[in-house]
Amino acid sequence: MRRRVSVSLVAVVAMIAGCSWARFDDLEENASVLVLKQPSGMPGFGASVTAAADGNRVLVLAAGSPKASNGAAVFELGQGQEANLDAFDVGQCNTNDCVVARTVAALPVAQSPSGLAKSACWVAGFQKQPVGDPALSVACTEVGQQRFLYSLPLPFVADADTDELNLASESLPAVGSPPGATALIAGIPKLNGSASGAAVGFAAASTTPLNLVPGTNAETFGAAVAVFRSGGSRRFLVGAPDRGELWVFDEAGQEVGCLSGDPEFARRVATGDVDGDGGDEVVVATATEVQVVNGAAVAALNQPGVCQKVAAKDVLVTLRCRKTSDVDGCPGGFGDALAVGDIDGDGDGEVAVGAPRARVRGSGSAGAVYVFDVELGAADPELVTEERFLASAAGGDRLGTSVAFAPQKDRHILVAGAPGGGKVAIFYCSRLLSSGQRGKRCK
Amino acid sequence: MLSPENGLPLSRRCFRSLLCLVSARLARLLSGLTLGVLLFLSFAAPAQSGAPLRSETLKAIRAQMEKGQGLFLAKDYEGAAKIFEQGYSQHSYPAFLFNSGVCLERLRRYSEAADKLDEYLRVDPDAPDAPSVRERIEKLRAAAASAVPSGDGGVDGDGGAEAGEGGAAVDAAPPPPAALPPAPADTKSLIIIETEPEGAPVRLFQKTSPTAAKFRPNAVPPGWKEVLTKRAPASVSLDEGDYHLVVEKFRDFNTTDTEVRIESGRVFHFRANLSQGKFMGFLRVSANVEGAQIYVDDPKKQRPPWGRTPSAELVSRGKHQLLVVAPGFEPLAKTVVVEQAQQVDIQVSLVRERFGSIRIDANTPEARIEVEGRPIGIWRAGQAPMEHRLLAGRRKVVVRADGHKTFDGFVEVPRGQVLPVHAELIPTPSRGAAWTQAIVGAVFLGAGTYLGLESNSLHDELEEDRIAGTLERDDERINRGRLFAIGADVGFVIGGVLAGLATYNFIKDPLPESGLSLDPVLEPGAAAPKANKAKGATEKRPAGHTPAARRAPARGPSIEFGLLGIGGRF
Repeated sequence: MRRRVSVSLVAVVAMIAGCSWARFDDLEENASVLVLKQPSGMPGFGASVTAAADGNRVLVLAAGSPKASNGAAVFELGQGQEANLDAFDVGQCNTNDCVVARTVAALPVAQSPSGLAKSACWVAGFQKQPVGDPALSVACTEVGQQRFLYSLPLPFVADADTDELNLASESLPAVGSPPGATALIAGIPKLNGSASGAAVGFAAASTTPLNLVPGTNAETFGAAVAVFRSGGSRRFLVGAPDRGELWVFDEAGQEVGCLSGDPEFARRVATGDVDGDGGDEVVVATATEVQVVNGAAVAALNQPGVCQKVAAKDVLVTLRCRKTSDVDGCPGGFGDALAVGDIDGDGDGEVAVGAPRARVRGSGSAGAVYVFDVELGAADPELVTEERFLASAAGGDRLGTSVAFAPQKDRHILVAGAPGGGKVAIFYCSRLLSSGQRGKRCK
Repeated sequence: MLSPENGLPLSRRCFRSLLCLVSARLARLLSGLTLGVLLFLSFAAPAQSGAPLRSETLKAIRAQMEKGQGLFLAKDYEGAAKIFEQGYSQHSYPAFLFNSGVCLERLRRYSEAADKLDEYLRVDPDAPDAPSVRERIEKLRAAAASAVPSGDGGVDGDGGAEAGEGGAAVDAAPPPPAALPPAPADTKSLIIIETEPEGAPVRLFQKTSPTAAKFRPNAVPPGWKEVLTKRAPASVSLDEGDYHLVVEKFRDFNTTDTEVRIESGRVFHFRANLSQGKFMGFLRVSANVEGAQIYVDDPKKQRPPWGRTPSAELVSRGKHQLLVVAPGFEPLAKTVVVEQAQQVDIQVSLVRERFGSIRIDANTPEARIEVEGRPIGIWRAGQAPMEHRLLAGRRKVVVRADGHKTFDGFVEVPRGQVLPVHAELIPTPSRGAAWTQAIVGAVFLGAGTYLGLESNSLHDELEEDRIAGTLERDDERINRGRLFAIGADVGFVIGGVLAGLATYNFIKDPLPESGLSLDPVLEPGAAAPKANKAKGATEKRPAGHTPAARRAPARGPSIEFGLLGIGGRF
């Protein structure tokens, strides 16, 4: 009898030990995804995100839904796999007359109108002025400094009353390179009373607005903007998806040409060095797919007023939504957000494509982010690397509404917003990472 | 003279002498038989009554006479005199008076001795030795008159041959007067003669000369003297010697006779059954079991029993098949040879049979009983106890009853007896709490198992997500899994505790085990003591115990033969 009791006790203890809740602490502490805490009064948190480095600081700006949201918040991720999930600055564009942009932009290095050099500056929206032109609201969060605010004028959109301000700055510098002054572009489609949308560019470290005027009016001109960088020069890219055109402007704001493509070509645009040649490629979303356009073709574009179809040879790769065991395809919205970053730190960038309407694990519009490691030298240059989603995704989260890469010392990490769930997720892990890069959160 | 064999009972010594006598003369005695006569033995009865003596009376007379004779031989004359006088007061046979007088004379109390002999003659004026007794009385009175008074209350001197050999009182007394002849060496024996039918004339002759010829009833040879002529029943006091008893022709019965050897201080009882045509013997059977049935020459027990132990009865001479049976004992069969005019005394030791019985009931309304692994039946309250016969010894008994603990043990079944057994079954303790704890514990364990499995599943799922790089820190499943794990642990702990409690409560038994109470063993067919049943005051003894006093003798069956015979030819 004693023996039976002993065996039973041992079994019970073993079961108790086996069922210990402590192992969940490990999962919690070493989760592969961190989600930034949504600040109060910021509905649609995660509608847009961007990131920048400021010295050792890695900062993320996450905004809520345009108009409905009370500004944006800045988070500090830091180097490594620990992040402060609480926003340390929620004063970005949080005034009543500030309209939050649909896509926000980072200015890692900036210069104020008064000529002050600033870092860690963010453009989260535009400020309506009682009298005169609206202005872009810039707020800098330097170390040890109080928030520094200044404005960049938007002289050509005086009557803008839109919730679709699209902002973009240059893509992240190569891994290990310090950030520099970056150009900024703002696009506002569907201007009231105007046949065409508008776009305004700011050259690097410049506060002088450049009016970017397309050769052909397009209502949706400005629906997508980007700054293209190649060989030390920059070009502003403005999409007009209703016409399927991508207008290209030089640093002086002069139109240099146009690329056209499939329907809704250029509904979203991003830039980054995909092939590792040091210059950007242009990642363009169409209605159903994403194309990576050779940057050389854009850099060589010099036919103002002419909108030419993108040559097939210049489309390095076309990326499409694919079904996986977890992601049940994309009913639409594949490419609603685009970003280029070097996840594995190998010198060439991976393309992150947001698919906020993707059905994940049975949850509609839970959203996902596809990460494509495009190996151009391979027989099949289109290589789906992995899909990223939130394991706890719920229907309507719309993860992938916004995507960005945050710089780390040796690589970039993916940041994606899910405004439906009010989440901004930091994806630390990837199968592309070497064992030395995985850290505690990635097995 | 009586045999001086010391260390043997007096009766045995007497019997042996008689046996020798009978054996030596048996053939001669048989040759003269003309009428069936039963010669009979040493039990006396008042001859005056006319009715046959009962055996109890004969025993008493005989005992009294032998006791006095024993004291006489031991030279305790004082005690012997008292016994003889006591015997006379109880049975009024003159031989007691004579013997008492002899004892008083040995005590040199001559005057008292003379008085006692006077009384003897008054009671039996026709005594064969009346002349010599009268002469002796005169001498005793003379001796009493001439004796020197002594300080011991008038004890006279003793002229007996045994002066100086007796006790201290005799040795210290003065010597008897020279004129007094020696006191009689022996006491007289009592001879009682009965016939069936009564009234037959009997004559008794004494052999007075050692060289006398063999007695012939039709022509009494010289050396024989007639000492008694009476009609039976009759009694007479005789000295030790050889005698011849003759029953004269009576009615339709012929004359018959027998030699008689008389020893002193004994009681001889002659009973002649004149209707028998042959000599008969006397068979006495006793046993260690009183009331055992005795069958003679009836091995199949087709007739009523010959008797019950102890029993004595006449039987014809020759071989007899003796069968003694008693409930609970092995029957004992024996061949017995009874010679004519002989008493064969058989002491039988019956041995308990190998089987015994248990008589069992219980304190429950119903009990299922097994003995030695075989069901013997169901006993129900109100019924008589269930009796089961089985081999004696240590036997396994199992008693079951619903709602009660099963008794499973051994009892020692006595040989040839009945062991009353009362199963005292103890109710099985309620296991309700244990069952409740077990069920609730099982529920908790089940819930714990379920939650544990869910927790494990969630953990695995989360781990997969973690490996896939999609697990977020705030995934609600983490908390859910943690809660499941805690729930599982709590379930296991509570379930384990309850299971332990249930186990303990299943095992725990505050009540004693069922047992048996054993009443004293009974003889077969005996009823249980009512007092015990009514009051429930059964003697509680450990199962398997049998009182040693009740056990059958351990040794094997045996027969002891004792012979008491006295022969005669009628």
